[in-house]
Amino acid sequence: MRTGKSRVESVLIAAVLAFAAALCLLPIVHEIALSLSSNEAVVAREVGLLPVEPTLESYRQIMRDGTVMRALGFSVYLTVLFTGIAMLLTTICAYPLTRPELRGRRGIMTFIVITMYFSGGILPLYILIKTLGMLNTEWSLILPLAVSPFNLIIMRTSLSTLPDALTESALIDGASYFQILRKIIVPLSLPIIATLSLFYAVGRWNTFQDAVFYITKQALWTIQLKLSYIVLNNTQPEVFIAEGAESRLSIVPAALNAATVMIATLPILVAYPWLQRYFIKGAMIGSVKE
Amino acid sequence: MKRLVLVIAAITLLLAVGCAPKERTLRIEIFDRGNVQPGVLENGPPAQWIQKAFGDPNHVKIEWVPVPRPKEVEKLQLMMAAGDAPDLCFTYDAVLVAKYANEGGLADLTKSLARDGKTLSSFIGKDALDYGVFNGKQYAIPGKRQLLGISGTWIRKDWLDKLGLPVPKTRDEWLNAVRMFKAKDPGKCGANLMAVGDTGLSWNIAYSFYEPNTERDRAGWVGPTSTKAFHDMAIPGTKEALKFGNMLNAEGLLPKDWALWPKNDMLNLQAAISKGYVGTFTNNLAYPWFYNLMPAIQKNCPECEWVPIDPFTNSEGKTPKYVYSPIGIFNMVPASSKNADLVVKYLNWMADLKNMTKIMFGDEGTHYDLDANGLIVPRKLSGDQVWEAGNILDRVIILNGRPYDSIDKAIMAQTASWVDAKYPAQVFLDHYKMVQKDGVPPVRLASPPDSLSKQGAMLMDKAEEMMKQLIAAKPAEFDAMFDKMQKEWLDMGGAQVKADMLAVYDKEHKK
Amino acid sequence: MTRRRPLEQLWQLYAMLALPLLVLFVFSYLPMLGLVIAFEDFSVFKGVFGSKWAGLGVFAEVFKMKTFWIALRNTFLLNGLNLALGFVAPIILALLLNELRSKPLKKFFQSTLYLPHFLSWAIIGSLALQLLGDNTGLVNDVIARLGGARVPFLSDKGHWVFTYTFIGIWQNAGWGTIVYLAAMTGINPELYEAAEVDGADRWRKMWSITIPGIMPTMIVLLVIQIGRLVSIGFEQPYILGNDLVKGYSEVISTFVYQLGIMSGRFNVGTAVGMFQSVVGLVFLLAANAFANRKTGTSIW
Repeated sequence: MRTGKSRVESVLIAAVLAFAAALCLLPIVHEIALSLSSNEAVVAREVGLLPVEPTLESYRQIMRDGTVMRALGFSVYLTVLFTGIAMLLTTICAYPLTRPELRGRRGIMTFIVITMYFSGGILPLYILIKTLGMLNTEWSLILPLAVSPFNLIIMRTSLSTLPDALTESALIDGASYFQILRKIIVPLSLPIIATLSLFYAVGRWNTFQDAVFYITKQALWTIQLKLSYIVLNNTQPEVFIAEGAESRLSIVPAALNAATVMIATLPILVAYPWLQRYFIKGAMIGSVKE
Repeated sequence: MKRLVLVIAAITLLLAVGCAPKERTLRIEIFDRGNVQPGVLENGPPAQWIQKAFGDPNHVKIEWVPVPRPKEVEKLQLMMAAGDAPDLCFTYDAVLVAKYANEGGLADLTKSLARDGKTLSSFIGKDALDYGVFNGKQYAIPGKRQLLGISGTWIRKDWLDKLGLPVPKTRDEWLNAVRMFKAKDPGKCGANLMAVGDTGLSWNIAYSFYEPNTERDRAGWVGPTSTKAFHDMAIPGTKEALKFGNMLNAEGLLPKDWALWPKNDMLNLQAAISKGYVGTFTNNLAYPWFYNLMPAIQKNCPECEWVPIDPFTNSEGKTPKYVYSPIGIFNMVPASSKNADLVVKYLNWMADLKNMTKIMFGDEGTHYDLDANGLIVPRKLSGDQVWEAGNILDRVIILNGRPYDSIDKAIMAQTASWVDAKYPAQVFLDHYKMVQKDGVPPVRLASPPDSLSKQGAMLMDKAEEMMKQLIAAKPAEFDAMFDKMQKEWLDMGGAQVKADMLAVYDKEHKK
Repeated sequence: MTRRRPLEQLWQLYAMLALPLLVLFVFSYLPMLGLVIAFEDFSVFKGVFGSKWAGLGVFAEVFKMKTFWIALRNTFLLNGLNLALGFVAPIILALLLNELRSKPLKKFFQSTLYLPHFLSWAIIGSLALQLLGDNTGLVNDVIARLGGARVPFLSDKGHWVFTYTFIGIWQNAGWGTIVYLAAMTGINPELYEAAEVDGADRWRKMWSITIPGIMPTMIVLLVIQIGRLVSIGFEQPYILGNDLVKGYSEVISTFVYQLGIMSGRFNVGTAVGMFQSVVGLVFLLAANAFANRKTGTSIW
């Protein structure tokens, strides 16, 4: 039964959220407008929220360049593969850490937390990757990041809010830990699994600092790596002048910049709305009743 | 009997194979700028031709190692550390090369160069080659740089004409012109007017305030060693220079919010230029063309007409400005490589103009033609016929420029596509000559002092910060502020580094 | 009745841990051997184990630089502000989102609020200048037209610090709501029904049910963020900063970057990193111990 006060509050809440959403949406709208405007208009900074001299030329140019689409395809493949592996490893690592009967829990947790803080830097990792023969393979982009301590802690915290009774009763019934994890814990943890999948996916999608050093084969370029080259070629033309290079090869039209950004960002933007179906309230009802 | 013949034949064959020169692999670095199609770097027409013309006769298999241009220093460091750096690698970072040489990480090329590198040595010239000499040995082979100038000034001829002003030939004339631009607003830009499109004080202006100096004086100037200008708060004349900038700011001649403009991103300036709001500016070579602003300018400001000028004269009547050292990239061979001799042979082979031209452009008559001036005009081809060379200068690493024997030709080649009715070839020739006139290259120190490596970056950053703050300050506070900041800069290491640099220079030049 | 603890099955838990911990060991611990670079006069040619020992010399060199301490102070300043003002932003947004009854509206807001997280700092920096510049910014133009005085959002040190903080909050608040919303779905709806029966209004429900329900998540995230007070990204301060506000915008990450420009000294970067690691870990342990004592929630 909604009172008048409650209705006013609802409207206010929606208004606040709408304001926040507008603040967040406007820059993206601006980027979209840039990508659909003519290059002259972009250079002259005449584009606001609507395209000026609308044209699809920037997108057409990108489609013509096979490398961009290929990088996009590879990024999707890599991200999906990475997220699957990372979620698997994270989940099977987090669950045992919620079980009090596991000896050495504190030690293992410490082992994990330390990796969150201490790192040898790019040099030792590069040498390791090279020694393992992982250069120029997708594994150099998957394995080092597959177990994120931060995500692990979040998952462990989340799993530990599930009642002990769930596991206990299943153990009494003779189930193995594997079965409990697969059949009970995971189905009840879909929201957090969706969340962390998103974190892993976005993290992998946006990172290219590792790809720069590990990947030289063009076939294995991620879209962010390709994008970083385009942006860099654009913001350091003096480097090219110093090197006497051909300007026509170096400087990418500004509108193309914006279009590439859109193409590089769009796929990951649809990930969250798609994952929202797993954010179901009350997933827990009925499971604890004995 | 037949058996004996067979056995002899087999042994002869084995001997022949054993004695034949074994095929070696030569690994060559190449910059990857992320803008060529897959396969071009490793296997495009130039790569194939190099293999045929140099590799095969010398029984060498050439392997190209792409390195991302934006991270070339880090990648090189990583490869050196992992022990798999290419036989021929290179970098623009002079300090890094010095460090490698002094740590014993590079192969000594002196003997190889004397034996197999005659063409190479004469092409690059002793002056440039000396930049690669450390402790008396040739550890790196610098490329030759063709065009040394980088910083040039342009002014709006149409505005000058409207106001009846002459093209400025001195600093005072220039100052008068920009003041008139602001006062009269000949382009009717209103609040968008940018009389001077510079972020603070342009280096050409600053240099005109520096007191006359010798090479030894300049050896004590703190600044990046490869390019650009000096970031030193204690060069005689700095105070006057910054005061001039402060005055420009106070009179509203500089762009609004110039101090907030991001360093590498000149979009604000480019937007203003393309809409015709800027009266004059000093920036990188052929700025409106290199940065693709001309289409926008022609569209938004058809009456815009830019002329190159060089008005910032110092007390000696010269127009000093920073220019590059006469070298390009540093080519080196890691000490662990077994192919130093091959590298020298390769570079020596490349030092022939004919070979360089072919690597960059293909064959005359098939891929390009020569016009009346002897300039290369690539043909419009498509598909397999294209001599797809990617970034043409990344393979010919001994030359920072184009394969012509005269500088004028090189200039014309670089600017050919920009020439039109409004801007004939002479405009560019004038501009390129101006950016090089009275040029002041950095002074080379073969073994830079430790204090420079440790504190140089910090001092330069701090100097830049201080200079910006001084130019943006209120005029009444300038004097006191400058004295305080200069002292602070010297105390925080500036004085020490300058003294150390001069000491090194003296040591290296005592004959 | 004591619960049966099936010890024979305990090995399964260890089996689950084996692979992830192995991955962590190989890719996080083995490279940690490289930390020794911080104690060496490192040369890429002599390698990690062949370079000359320098003891604490590298650390001494860094600690002697005045700019290092300024950078450290600024790091704490900016991170502290972000924590104080920004930690609650995603929580508030998540609570508000939770109140929406209209599913499509909720989905729409959720999908827009997190968009800024995907904008690169280069883009954000450019927009910030266009909006907040002293003389050329849109916001200041509006203020001036309304008769007010222009605000030096980006050019004055004091103002800049808050501009930096709010831009950071804007960029991340929406993204941060995700994990809280996920936690909220785990709250038993029966609790809400019971409260409804008792006549509680939405604020009461929020205070007594929702917030306690997401408290463990909040505490853990807070502890982790405290542990990160000494670390800071590179892009945000580098791009939003400028020479006029360098006094506050120079942070540890930009300090190391600038130091590394001259001939890329790995040992300095590693030494500073190690310093941050130790300090960060100490902060984490302290925060975790405190949280554990007060609320029983702990990372361990």
